[in-house]
Amino acid sequence: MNIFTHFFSRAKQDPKAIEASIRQDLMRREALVGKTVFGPIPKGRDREFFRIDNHTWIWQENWKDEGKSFSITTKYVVRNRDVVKSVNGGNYEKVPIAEASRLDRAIQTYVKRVGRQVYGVAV
Amino acid sequence: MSIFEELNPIIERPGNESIGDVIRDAWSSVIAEMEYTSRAVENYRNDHDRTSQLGQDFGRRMNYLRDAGVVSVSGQNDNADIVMGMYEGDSLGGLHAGIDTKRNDAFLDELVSDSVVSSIDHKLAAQDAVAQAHRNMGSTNDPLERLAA
Repeated sequence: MNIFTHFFSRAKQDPKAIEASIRQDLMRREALVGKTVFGPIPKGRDREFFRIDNHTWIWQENWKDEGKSFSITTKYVVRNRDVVKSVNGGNYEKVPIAEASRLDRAIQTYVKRVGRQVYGVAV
Repeated sequence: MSIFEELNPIIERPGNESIGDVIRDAWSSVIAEMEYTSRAVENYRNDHDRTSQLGQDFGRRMNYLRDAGVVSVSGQNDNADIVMGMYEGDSLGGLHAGIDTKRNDAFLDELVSDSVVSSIDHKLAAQDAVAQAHRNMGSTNDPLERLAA
């Protein structure tokens, strides 16, 4: 049962609650597509790429090596004239032009795929 | 199946029109985010290119003044009219400068108003340096206020 069937199977719902649930589900669906933006994910590795807020993106990689767990979370904040990032909650630093350009391309790919796979819209 | 197709039977029920609006809003925000990022990165690239060029021009001008014996970079010549210590700072090529001078105000104003120091980073560095030079000379004619206007 998907979230919509679940919600609409009930006789009465608060419209605001339904809207909030739809937004949440859209974010979840977009995040599933975001996983694929950087190509195939190697076995034993988990990847996330999603938007958490206006102008704010998260790229997360989790993996294990020799029984130890590793995780890198990079938070990108796109500003009007540059991009800054924080890795694993560290200080924000301005990213080089090349990295900003790669993030731009990743977001374009994300939008194309999300448009096609979630919203049924060609970009 | 797209979310519109999936939800169409529900959206079409009377009273559920706002659900379609929620989905359309979400999609609009995704598109807006892509456009915003592209503009921001383009601005970043343009600023970087322009500032790098300005930094090179500024460096050439300083070298010219140094060769002419007007400027001494990093205090190599204590008899020069201007002693400037500077280094290339961040990735934007911002120049941080400190100037001591025997020159008059008009020369200093010309230095900072020159187009080669018109970028924000360079201008701020030059403003700081010139303001310091004015203070060193005991001048009350602080160009910082004029340039900030």
